[in-house]
Amino acid sequence: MGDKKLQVQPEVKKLITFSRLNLQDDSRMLFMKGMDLIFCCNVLIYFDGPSKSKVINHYFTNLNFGGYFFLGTSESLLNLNDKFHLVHFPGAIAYWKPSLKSGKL
Amino acid sequence: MFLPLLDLLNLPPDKVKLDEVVKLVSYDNTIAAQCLRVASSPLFGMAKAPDNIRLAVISLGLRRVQTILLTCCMGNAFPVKDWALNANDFWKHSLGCAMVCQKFSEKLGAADSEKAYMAGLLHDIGFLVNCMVFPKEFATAVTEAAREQIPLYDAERTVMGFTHCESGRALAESWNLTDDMVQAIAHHHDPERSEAAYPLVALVHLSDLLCRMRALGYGYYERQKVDLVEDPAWAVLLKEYRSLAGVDLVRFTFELDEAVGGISGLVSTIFGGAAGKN
Repeated sequence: MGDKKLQVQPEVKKLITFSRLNLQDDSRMLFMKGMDLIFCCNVLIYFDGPSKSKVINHYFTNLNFGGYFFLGTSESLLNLNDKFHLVHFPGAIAYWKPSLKSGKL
Repeated sequence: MFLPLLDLLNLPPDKVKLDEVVKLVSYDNTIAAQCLRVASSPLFGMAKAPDNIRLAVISLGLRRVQTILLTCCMGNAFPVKDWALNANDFWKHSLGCAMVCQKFSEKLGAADSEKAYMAGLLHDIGFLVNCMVFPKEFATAVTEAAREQIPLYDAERTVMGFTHCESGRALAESWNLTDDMVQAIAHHHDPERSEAAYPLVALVHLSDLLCRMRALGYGYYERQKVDLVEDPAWAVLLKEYRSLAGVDLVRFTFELDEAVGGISGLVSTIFGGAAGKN
């Protein structure tokens, strides 16, 4: 990339919304359906075991089938959730919610 | 000295004699010096290499010395000259995979992790055969793989009709390597077609994939999504080693990332000038 800078097209910018959300707020978390990608970097490290599991379960239900969930560097879901599939891409690790037709759910 | 070393490596560990190994190490001054340097690298975990070869061999353990020797010899056995592959990438991948295989098998509590190291080091040896025997065709395959962002294995298939697995197998058989080693070289891309379901084949297959997904691949972006746990090789390994279920793959991946620097250093120590030129 070097010092090349990229700028997002205005029509794409218009699609973006920012809002606050309390990850521990179950009722609001329930309404976050239809996600294709979730990035949650260096947040869960501050939670205790049960809260982590709860948030991750929300993520799993809110993700669309075939969607991906990304954690921060050196974070792991081991022993927290066994429904996500750990997948490797070149240089990246992601958690995958299998698509329905893959029959892997 | 390469062939006597291979013969020695094929022996069961309790048949190997200390004096023979010491003799082999001392055979060539350059190799001996190289071995001592490699032994003191972080990958082999000796804080300070002893200056006496016999002492070094004893404190490192016979098995380990043999793998270090093998590592050093590889550079001399295959001199770099206009390779289609980047020699530096090749050795980084081979050494990286060797390390991953070894660490992986230690995590599983397998008996002979030095053997796993050797299998990792040699698994792609067929690439060198292809570099030397079919330089033009193989160069086309390398270009094709990088352009299409596909595994080299697939590109070799399309371009040449055979792969480094077949060439590697021929070489491994002429070296009289043990059958599980031959199978690991021949079937690390298709472990399900291996004639016997050796855990070693599964181990090399998974380690190779993991290396290619991190900074220890062949220097180009391989467009691929890898689900190691769903890979049939994972089940083969799990059947043999129940402890696999408790391995934290994410943490393992980051441990691999941390070792990349050390591996690059080792490559320049062993293959130094030669690999740098390419």
